[in-house]
Amino acid sequence: MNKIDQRDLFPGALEMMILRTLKRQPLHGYALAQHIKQTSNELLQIEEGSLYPALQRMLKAGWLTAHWEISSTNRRVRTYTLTRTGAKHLEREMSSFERMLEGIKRVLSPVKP
Amino acid sequence: MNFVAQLFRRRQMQDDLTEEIRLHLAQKTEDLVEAGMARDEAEAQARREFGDVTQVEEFGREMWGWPRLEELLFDIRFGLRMLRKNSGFTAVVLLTLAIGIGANTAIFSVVNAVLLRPLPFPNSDRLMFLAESNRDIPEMYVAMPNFRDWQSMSAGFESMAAVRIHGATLTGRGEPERLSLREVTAELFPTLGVKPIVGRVFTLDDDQVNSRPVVVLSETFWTREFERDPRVLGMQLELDGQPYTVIGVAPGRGFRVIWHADVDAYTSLGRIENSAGGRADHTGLYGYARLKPGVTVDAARADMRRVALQLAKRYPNTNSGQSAVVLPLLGSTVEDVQRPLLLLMAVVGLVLLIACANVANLLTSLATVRRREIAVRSALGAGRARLARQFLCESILLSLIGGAIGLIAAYCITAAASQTLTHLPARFVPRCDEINVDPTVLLFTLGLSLLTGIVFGVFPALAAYRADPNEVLKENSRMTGMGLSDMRLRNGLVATELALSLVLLVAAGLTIKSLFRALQADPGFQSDGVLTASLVFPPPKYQPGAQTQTLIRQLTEKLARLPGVQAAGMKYPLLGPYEDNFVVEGRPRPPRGFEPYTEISIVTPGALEAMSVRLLDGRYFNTCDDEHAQRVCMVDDIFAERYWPGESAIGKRISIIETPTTPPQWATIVGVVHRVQNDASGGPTLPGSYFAFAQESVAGGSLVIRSTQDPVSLMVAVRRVLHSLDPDLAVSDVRPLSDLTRERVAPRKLSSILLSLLAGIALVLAAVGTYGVMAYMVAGRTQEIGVRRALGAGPVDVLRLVMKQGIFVALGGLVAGVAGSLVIGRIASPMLLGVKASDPLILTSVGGLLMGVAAAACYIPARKAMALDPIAAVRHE
Repeated sequence: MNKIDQRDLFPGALEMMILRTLKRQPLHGYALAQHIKQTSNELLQIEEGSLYPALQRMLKAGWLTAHWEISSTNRRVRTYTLTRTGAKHLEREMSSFERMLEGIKRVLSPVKP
Repeated sequence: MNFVAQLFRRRQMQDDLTEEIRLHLAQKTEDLVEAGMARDEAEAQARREFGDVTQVEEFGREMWGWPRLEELLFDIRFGLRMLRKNSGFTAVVLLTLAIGIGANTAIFSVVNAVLLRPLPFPNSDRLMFLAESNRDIPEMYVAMPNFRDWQSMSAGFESMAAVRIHGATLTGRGEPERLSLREVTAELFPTLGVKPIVGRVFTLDDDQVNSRPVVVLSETFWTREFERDPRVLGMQLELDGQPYTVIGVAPGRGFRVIWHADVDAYTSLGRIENSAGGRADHTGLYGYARLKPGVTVDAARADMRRVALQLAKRYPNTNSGQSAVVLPLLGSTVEDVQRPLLLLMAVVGLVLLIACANVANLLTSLATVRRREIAVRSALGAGRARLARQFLCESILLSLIGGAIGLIAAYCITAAASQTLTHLPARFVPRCDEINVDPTVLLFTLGLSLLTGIVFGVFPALAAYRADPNEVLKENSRMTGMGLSDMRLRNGLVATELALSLVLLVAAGLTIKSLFRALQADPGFQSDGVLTASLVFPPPKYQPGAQTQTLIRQLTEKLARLPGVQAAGMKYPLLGPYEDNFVVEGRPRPPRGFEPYTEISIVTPGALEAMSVRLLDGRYFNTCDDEHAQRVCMVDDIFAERYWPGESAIGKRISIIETPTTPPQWATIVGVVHRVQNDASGGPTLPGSYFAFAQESVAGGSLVIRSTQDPVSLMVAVRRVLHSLDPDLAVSDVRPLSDLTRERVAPRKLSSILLSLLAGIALVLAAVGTYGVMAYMVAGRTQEIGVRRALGAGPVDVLRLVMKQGIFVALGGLVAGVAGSLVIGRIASPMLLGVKASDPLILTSVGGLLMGVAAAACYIPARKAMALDPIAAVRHE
């Protein structure tokens, strides 16, 4: 569990990305992994497997629900949907993340002469 | 998520995850194959990109499962498997634990029933027992006028009642019968919260002087005499010749507990208050009171002391130096058995400790044998804490099973013990009929089992915790290494066991010796061949005086003429306490309240002869010592020695101080007899004196008849003689004197049997423990012994090697045990009849026994070591 956490970019980053992605549309695990990889232009080197512990955690926290269905490609998939609690959590996290990012940017921006 | 729902969903969630991962990998592989990759390569690639499947699944399990609970279940399953695998070991451990826990459960169920359970009265914790005290007597009967003042002057009680022990002869219903009565004030039943079964109890009107005589029957008497017929109400009962109207029946259970006996009926004390004695008469009366809610015992006690002080000021002649005693009713009821029971509880506690030490030893041995198993498990990733928990789980499992077996055994033992104690003629354990295994006992046993499991499980768990898997695995398969600290621990445990069992053996030895002392002690009389019967001359028919004296004279003379009868007389009291102050003529009289006490006995001619009390000087009483002759008395040798050392006491005069104001009534000493042991407690003895029945006003006493035939066969003849003189007289307690003397030592006998039994168990456990450790040591050093033998050591050297260690440990135990016994002996000394804990005979014999057993326990493995074939031993794996 610890090892998986360490592969996160920073604590909670993976979860935020998952929540953000699911906010747009419900997805199953495989699609979710592909989506995150593609949208980050393969910049984020995450093991696909590390998604699942994050998903499990969020299921337990009640941010997501999961149900089995048949995909458009006629496969049995387990689709994750964002719950209201999950959406609220995402909003909170996003705003605090943006504040943090703003702070980091300011510190990292070149000093004006 | 809901906790319960989660319990049901967790398997589902785990399965979902597994399935999901499988599908993920499948789809990835498909995609890669579609992109043109070879299938096996695609599968490998999918797995690579996914990461560690097992770890993800494990995470899911931890997320949804109850890992702790599951691990615990696993530990239990694994533990049970281990126990089954080592079935011989398990049997020994379970037996040891069952004995230890069973003994504790049995004794605790007695403690629970007798000492802890509340009395069978509502809010019984607020009930108090009241008595008086003075400078010399810590607890004495209450004088009736004092009681009335307590009632009106005290502030701490809701209500207060007085009870007086009494007896009456029931006539007019066939054979006259002596009834055990209690004269009670009207407050008694309400104070204790006792409601009548039938009819009513006393009202304040019934309790007025000279009111109509009424009687409340006890449930036992009602059942025995009237077969529980409710029509008994309104019936007339003739008690001591006077008609009493039955007004109700009161339940007997609670009274039986606090009085240690069944009572037949209750009459009013207030009705006869004028004849119930003055402030100086402390005869058979005591009080019960109920605390006001919120008032503590201490507060009530302080208040009563204040009242007593006021009374002492108001009536200095009778009340100076007197105070009031307030005791919780439960405490005062079980006072006599409290100390022995708690001592017994401590003893079984020691037995359990020995059992724990034993089992800890066995488990540590097993843990050593399992070292490789443990090392492998820990190398495979089992945490040390996890391993330690596994061991603790096994030991608690063991102790719970052992406890269950012990509980069953205790259940049978207590059922039998309750039966036996209840049917003993003298019920020296109050509430023994209530001894059973109730929820409190169950809880106790469960707690004790858990605690036991933890206590003995800690040692192997610690050993497992400390073990370094590297070290163990590096060791070759030969069991050469036996850690020094490990060995020290085991030796320490064995020494402790031996020490504890020595303490118990000494305790058993001391009680047995004091039992023998009690049995062999010259009681001053011979009980064989003597029949006794209690006989009372009830007023108003009999008044103290000539008529009664004539009847007694006729009766004893007739009895003495019966065939086979050698001597007959009457004595009051038969045996037991009757003490009063006295003064010696010609000696300075001590200040009031500091006069010496003497144990008094009132006897007719023939009584001392019938009991074979030896005459040392002078003469026994004879028929000439009657109401017209000069007052005479006899004293015992202790009395004579104390006051007239080196000279004859005959002709000297003493007087009992009946009230401080009456002038001395001098009685001349006519004889000196051998000391009679009135009780078997072995406490300090007061000088004894005997007065003549004919010169005292006593309303009854005990017939003592010595005959050459079996006393029991005499009973019918005694009744016939009595009824030929007066058909309305009743005898009670007709029984051989030897029954009484046997009863006096019964508690002592019981405690010696129990202690010996427990000490025996302890010794066996300790022997098994010693044997176990020595056998283990020999097994561990087989190779070393083989090498020694090969290098020329003879069998005797090997024997010495093994025995040396064993004896060393045993000596350690011996020294610690002797020290412990001396401490215990000092605590228990009041119960030991003067037998000292440092009794050399007991210490040497018990110490010898212990060393002998330890030596035997060492010898068996030592012999095995001696018989070792050196070649085989060196190769021993």
